[in-house]
Amino acid sequence: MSDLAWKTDVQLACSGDRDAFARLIREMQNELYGMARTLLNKDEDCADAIQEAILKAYRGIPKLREPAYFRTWLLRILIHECQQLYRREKRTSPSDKLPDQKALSTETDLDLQAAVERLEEPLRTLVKLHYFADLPLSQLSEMMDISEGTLKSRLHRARRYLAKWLNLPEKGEIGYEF
Amino acid sequence: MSSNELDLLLKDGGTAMPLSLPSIVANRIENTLHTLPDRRAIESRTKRIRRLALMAASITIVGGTLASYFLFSRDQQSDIASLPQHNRLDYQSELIGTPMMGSLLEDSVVNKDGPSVTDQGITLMIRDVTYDGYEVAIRYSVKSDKEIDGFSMDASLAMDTKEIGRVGYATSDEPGNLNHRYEKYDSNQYEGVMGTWKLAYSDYLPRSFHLKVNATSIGGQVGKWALDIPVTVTSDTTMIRPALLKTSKEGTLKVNRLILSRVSTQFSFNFEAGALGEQSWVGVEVTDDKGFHYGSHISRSADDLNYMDLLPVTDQAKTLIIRPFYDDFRNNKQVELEDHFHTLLVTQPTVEEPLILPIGEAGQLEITGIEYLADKTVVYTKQPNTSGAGFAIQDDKGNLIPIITLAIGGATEFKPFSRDTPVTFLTRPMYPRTYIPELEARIDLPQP
Repeated sequence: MSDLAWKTDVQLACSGDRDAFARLIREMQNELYGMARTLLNKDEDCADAIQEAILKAYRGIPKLREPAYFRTWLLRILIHECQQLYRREKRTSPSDKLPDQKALSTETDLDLQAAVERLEEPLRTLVKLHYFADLPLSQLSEMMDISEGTLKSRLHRARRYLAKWLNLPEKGEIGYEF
Repeated sequence: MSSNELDLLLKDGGTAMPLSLPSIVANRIENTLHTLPDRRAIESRTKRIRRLALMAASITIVGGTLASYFLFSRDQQSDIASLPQHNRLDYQSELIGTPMMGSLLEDSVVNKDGPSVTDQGITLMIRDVTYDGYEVAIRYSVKSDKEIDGFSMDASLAMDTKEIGRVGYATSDEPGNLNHRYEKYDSNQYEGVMGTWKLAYSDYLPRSFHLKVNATSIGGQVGKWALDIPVTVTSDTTMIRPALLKTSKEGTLKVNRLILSRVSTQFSFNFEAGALGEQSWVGVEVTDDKGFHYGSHISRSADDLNYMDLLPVTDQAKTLIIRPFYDDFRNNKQVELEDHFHTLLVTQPTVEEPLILPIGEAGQLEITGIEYLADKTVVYTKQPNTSGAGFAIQDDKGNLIPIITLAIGGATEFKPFSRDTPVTFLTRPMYPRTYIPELEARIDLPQP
């Protein structure tokens, strides 16, 4: 979809055009899935979160004050839905029980991921989006509506937790670099 | 290891992403896009859904000015055999079978002490708080240094700074009232339980919070009883994932998941309506093999029927019964007060000679007794009530009498009025529901 077509469809969707809204979603569907899959572990959960995000976006789009931010706005809704769903699943499913610290080791990626899962919100989402989905802080700042400074400080805090849980020796405090 | 090395480790640590969009996701996106409602319908539907959320917990408030409109329990005598059991029980609570609905005086919690506060010679003690991540129930006791004639409480509850409901006399346009019931232990002690019933629809469901209880009146005595209690979500829940899919020309019902706890039942499902659904509203009702009604959910569109927050299962229940139905659209139209049936209470109703309330084509409601107490008036309805209808009570000045607590098992508690007060029962015209027996689903519950 060209930039012009995208902007036109956003304008149309904001004024209530259902077909234009659907075109925008189809255009973004891989990105939506990528984001959801970063934050959730199962495709079925991703489908649930994306569905909710689409419905909420459709209901809320007339209130979108700046059409240029449609993409960022939709991804923000999706992040929120993923967090909600993750919380619900974690509350109810024993399979989501987090590993004991003694079960963690430094040897495999699985253990690293388990340690990331152990982080509390909002650190967990931030680490996943920044590191696993490779999203720059400038973009996350827009998407999460949080200043870059706050995000850096959160990442710093998250890394300290991870280093501790993974028994990684620290060589001193180093500020965030990007 | 330096921070930069940890950065690198993290950057390489993500899960490998599938190359293409999985069909389950692609299909869901397409289905969602194909069923997007017309924008003009959204606003009215949003209001409707909000109202249905209340109905799911067995009560809805109709029209803002009309009082309570209760759903009652139903007797289930279905010829449909139990479905083959493919239930997957993910895990089971120890506490299922110890419902909040049994006798409070026989509850083992009655001997458990908790935080308390005393004012005006009256001590309010919170014996137990259970929070399953969706709803909260608070077991409490009240002890006084003198006899308490009647019992009532005005109190508000908050999760951190967010108010979650009140107990006391609530009017129909103040739907923030909590489930609340109490039993007299002796002349100066009461045992009670307050519970939320629509908290699951809120956007604030933290894993832990501070429960703030603020009572301003107990047993008619004005005072101040404030408690702040840290609460964490219980892990004591049971999750069942039944592999149930029922299909007929009248629709499809898929039961996805049930989460049971002492304080609520969370039910996830999908219902796709058939041809009849194009002209009717659609609904799903949950009862058990003993006829207890846990709640119904009705909507103009089956797309909105996928989740219900219900009362906790009773300890007698062995099977939950899910019954999809079509609801006459006229049942969901707002009816002005003057268009309701007005039935004057002339003689006190009994089981043998009930007060018959007309509800139009759907039949009738029977009031089988009224109990006049110092702090409440309890109105009993014949069970089962198969109409889905409810009632309100108007005093001689035309005011609707406020409700104290929700109907559970056919008993509705109102702000006290005397036997001599001339009251009129209001009922709205109702039309029969059409159940879809081919789609009825039964789920065996784990037994202790």
